[in-house]
Amino acid sequence: MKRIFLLLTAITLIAPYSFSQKKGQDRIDSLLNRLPKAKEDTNKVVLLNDLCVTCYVINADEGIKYGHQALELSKKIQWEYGIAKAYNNMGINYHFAKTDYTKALDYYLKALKIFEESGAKNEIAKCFINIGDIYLRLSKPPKALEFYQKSLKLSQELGDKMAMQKVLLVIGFFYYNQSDSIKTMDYFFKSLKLNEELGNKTGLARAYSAIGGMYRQNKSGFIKARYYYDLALKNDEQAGNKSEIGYDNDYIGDLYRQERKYSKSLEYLFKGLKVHIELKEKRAVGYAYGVIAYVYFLMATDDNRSELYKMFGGRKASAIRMAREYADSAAAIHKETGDLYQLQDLYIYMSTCWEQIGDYKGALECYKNYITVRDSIFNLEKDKKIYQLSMKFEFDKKQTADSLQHATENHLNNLNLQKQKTFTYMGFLGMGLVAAMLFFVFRNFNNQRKSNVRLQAAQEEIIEQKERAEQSEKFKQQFLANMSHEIRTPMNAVMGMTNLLIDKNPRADQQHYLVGIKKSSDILLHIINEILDLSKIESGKMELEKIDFSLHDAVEQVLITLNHKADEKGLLLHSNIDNNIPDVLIGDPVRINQVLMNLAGNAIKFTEKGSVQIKIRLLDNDPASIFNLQFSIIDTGIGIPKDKLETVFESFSQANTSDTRKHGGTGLGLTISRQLVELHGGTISIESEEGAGTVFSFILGFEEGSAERLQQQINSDENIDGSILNGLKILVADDNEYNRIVAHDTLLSKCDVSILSASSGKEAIEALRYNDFDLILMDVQMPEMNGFEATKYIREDFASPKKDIPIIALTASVLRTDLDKCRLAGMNSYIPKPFNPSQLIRGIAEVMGIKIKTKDISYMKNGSQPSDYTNVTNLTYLENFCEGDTAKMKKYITIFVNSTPLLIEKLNAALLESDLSEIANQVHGFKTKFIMMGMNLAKDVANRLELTCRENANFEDVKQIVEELTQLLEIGTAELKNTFDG
Amino acid sequence: MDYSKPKKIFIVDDDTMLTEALRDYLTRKIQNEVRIFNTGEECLQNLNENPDFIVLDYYLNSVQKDAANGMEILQVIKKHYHQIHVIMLSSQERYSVALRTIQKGAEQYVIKDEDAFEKIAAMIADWE
Repeated sequence: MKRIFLLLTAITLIAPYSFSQKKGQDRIDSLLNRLPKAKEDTNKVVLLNDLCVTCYVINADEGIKYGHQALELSKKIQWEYGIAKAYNNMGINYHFAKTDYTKALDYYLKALKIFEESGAKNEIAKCFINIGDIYLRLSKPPKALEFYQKSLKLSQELGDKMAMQKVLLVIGFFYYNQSDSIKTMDYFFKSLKLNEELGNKTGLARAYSAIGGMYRQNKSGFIKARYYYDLALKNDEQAGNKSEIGYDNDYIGDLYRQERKYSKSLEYLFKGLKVHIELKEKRAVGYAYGVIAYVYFLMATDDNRSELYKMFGGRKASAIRMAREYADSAAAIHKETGDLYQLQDLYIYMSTCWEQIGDYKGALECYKNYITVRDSIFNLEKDKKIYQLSMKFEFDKKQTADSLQHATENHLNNLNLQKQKTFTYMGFLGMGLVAAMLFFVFRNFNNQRKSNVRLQAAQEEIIEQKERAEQSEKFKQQFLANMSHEIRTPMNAVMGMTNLLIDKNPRADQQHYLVGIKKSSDILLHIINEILDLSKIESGKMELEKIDFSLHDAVEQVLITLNHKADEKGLLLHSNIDNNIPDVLIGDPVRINQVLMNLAGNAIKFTEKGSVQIKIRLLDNDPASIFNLQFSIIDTGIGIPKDKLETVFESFSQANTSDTRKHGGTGLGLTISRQLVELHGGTISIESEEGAGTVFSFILGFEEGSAERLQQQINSDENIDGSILNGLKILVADDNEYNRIVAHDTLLSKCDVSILSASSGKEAIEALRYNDFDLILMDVQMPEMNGFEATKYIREDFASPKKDIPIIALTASVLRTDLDKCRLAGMNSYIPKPFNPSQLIRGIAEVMGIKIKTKDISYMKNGSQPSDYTNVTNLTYLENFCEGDTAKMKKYITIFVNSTPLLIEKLNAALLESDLSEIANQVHGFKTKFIMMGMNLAKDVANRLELTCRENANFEDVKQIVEELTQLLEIGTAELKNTFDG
Repeated sequence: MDYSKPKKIFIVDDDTMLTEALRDYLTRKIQNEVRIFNTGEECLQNLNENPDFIVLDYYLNSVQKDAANGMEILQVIKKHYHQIHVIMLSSQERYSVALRTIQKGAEQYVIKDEDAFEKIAAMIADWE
């Protein structure tokens, strides 16, 4: 608790008035009394200015108000001094009460300018001190010292010894903060000498007290400290400085505590306490209670029991009881004054104290309290830090001009402020870090080091725990996503085989069971997909497409899909779309469809009779030609109880748990919907009346799309020239008859190819053995022998050229790992299911090395890709960058494609030499390229790789990430090549 | 963005993609005269052309190991052609790195990110 004492001295020294609120209030009252009686405007200004500066102790806002009044009046009567004084005093309010140092500095500088113009040197000297203090608080000690010295010099010139003694002391404290005890003492003594000359008792007292504080830090300094403290007390008594007398007693009491002279300590502490209570200095009372409690405790537990005998006849319990009482009182007051740092210190002291005497319950209680306070301090600190940082930034912005000049000496002489600004903006991060560092350094000095180190350690611990918690949350999500994916693969088999069995004319009871399995697996798959979606959104991997789409089509699709469900329940499902909405908008139709599907499906689920309506209204279209649409899904269902309205969007929640059984579902649909809407930049809201129905609505803004482009997009798919595949002999291996037919019919409708079908891997192998094919389309999930196994068999056991036949996987999975599996098994490519004709044709052409023919290149947009298929590359950025100039795009793509093999080569070479920093450098240099090619995933992987190389340096990790990156590069390069080779 | 009049700009970076892209960006609205150099040495040899700006990569020897790095080039430029504005381009986000380049005479320090081109263009445009 030592730290409070020196600190208080420092504050009382610089601030115009000391801590006493009573004194301040009295003064304000008297000033307010005098104000109406003042006749001259100048008198009024003086009074207002006085009020302004006095108020800072009690209510800074009031003070600033008076300051503005003084300012206006002064301006009216054109009284420069009044203006300057008003600025100065408002600065004091911002400085000491609101701790808004930038503002304070602003005001001080304004005041200073006027003072300088009018030559009010003593005011200038005062102003310098305040400005110095601000620089100190803004972590600019050299600047602070500069201003202090300026003030000192000016006062010297003026021969103003009163001012000099003060600034000397201030400089002493400055050096104290810089831990330079020799200089500290030097200045303290200089101030002391001046005060002696002046016979200024108050000044003498402050100097004595400060010197006492310095001696106190020495182990053997007790005698000297006591001597100086006594002198301080004596002088304050003579000068009648009541409040200071209280503090002087505190210091002496605490000094005795240090010497383990507890009864003496208490004697002084109570004296001080009495003064604080009289003056209503609440904070000081709180501190005193805390120290008293501590002294009682020390007395009770000290090995030397003589003090305990002196006061309590050796009854330890009595001393402890006193300690408890005072500690509780201290806590109460700290809470009242909001003095969290003191409260925190108190609780942790108490906790260790109670533990020491075996009162574990009490100790735990205090420890809990300590944690609570610590947490709130942590939050406070965080806010404060952010505030400080922003303040520092503001400040730096203003000050960069001269600080940079320092740094760059004469190189930058020709630099003007404008350039600086831009620099500051860019260097903000760096400066912010420096600011944060300096801020902590500053705090370290200001508070006693020990407890601050503890606080910082605590903060670090909290941050660490927070990070750990976040990490584990990430793992959880990852686990969930992985599991879902792992489940999805066998689920495909379950569903596929169930379908097969249903097709095999089962008995009625078997049919019944099979339908049961089918329904359950449908639900399970749906849940898994939802979890995957959610984890994708939450991990920020969900990216929205921006393509042309038809709003009517999107809604129509929802209606078609859900109609049978609505019919089953006898509900009317209909839509109502505002005619003023352009039909073609730019957005992500798949996701919008998903949201509407979720909400409308949900509505149907919870509605027994009546209707479900999808209503889309045009709210407005703002000048930026954004059409703001309100989507409402209105049902006449059971409604949602008011108290549940807020929770319906939470994961896995339904209004009533019993509903889950009745209505089914994961409770993820709404969560996903909300997240998707938010991802689109909208918010989803809900209105409901129990029994009457529910309205879910959200507002999204869209740009108008181009119907022409949309048509082109569709055309380009429809117009894909299938004849390029003419003459090919293709084997389609798929256990699902439907899929076989689709593949078969699709291909035959578009091109002249010959097709043979196989319904399992085994059949495919047999077919290949006796026939020649140009290509195999191979389903991954097949009975008897799956696609991977069949491919492996072909690649290993067949002879050339059959063993090298191109094989394209048909897979429902679009997960990277699955696709990797395809490649690992030796497949050349994959086509995601369900596929449309153009995809099939394109996929085959790609593998066969046949150029695709279309009427335009608008397929470069990913628009026609199936729902969650994501390319490794995305040319939107490049397209924007090149403003659609395909020649330029080609140039960049060529540069990229040409540079990747070199990178891969270099990475591998560096891997061989275990040169991690080289890897990091290479990858680093490639990042812009990833941005240009829209390779976000690759960019992320590159970042990870660089970080791993620079920090963790686990070679196996690095190797793995390099492989990952290499793969992405290869896929990306292939994608890019396709884009332009076509 | 308002580009006032054409300027002569050197871009020095061993990353072809970047130099090309930056050239395209800087010449999109106004015919700035842009020359590209893949090494600092080449740039130095052409300093007599007296460019208004040099956009200089901080890390110039990622391709040619024995090439001089950006800091060295910066110092040479500033020693002989003090009036040329040098915009330092780097992927180093560390403040100390930025400060060092500024101390050695670079006028600006730009971190290679999505906004880098825009920043550079704005700087060049704003410079009077």
